[in-house]
Amino acid sequence: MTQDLPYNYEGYFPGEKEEEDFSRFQQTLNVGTEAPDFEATRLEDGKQVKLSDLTAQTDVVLEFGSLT
Amino acid sequence: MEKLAIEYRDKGFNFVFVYTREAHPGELRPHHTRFEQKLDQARAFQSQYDIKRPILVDSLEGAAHRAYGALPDMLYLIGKHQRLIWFKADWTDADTLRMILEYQIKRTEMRQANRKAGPNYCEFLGFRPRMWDRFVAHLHTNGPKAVDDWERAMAYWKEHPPSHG
Repeated sequence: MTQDLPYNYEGYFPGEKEEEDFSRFQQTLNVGTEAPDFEATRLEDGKQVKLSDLTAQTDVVLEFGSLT
Repeated sequence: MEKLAIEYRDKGFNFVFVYTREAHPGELRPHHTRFEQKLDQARAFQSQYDIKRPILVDSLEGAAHRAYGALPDMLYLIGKHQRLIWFKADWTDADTLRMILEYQIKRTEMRQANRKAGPNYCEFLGFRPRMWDRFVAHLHTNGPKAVDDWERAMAYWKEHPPSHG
């Protein structure tokens, strides 16, 4: 079951935690509410970038994902 | 998504990709144990898919990813004003996003024309194309472990059908 797995799990396996995550997604961060700000490393130059710096200029389409 | 990013960047939308944990790690593309490794795998992703959008690499422990729900391929449209969430989806689908962006453009046009508009809360259940063959081929590039894990997951779902996509 995934509930005992660390964030960076070694191998994918579904379970109750995944079901909960999908269910929670529909119940939190609803449309019309404020998106949480965050800071992350821009791959291009290694600089720390805040979402709020980006949304100060334009609307932002935010996609999450990885190589795998 | 790259095509949409180019098409809509002059229409007031900035596309950003947030690099998260590996969803289906394998021997060739393992889970992250160091931030530098996460950066390297983000570079490999950028190169393999010729990503032109800015890539923001989340912290090793996934602070941003977890704040937004920690699903593997989520999509959000976040407004310039008050950082409002205009749209969210648990899976990224370009056709759905195009529809939403066109809708947003109409909203802007109405505002610019001083036409009155009130809020209208909407929900709808979208769809996305499924490309299993391509997905499984992709798992092979991650390493045999990723394929084995996926086969175990399929067996699990036979016993426990998922309610999500």
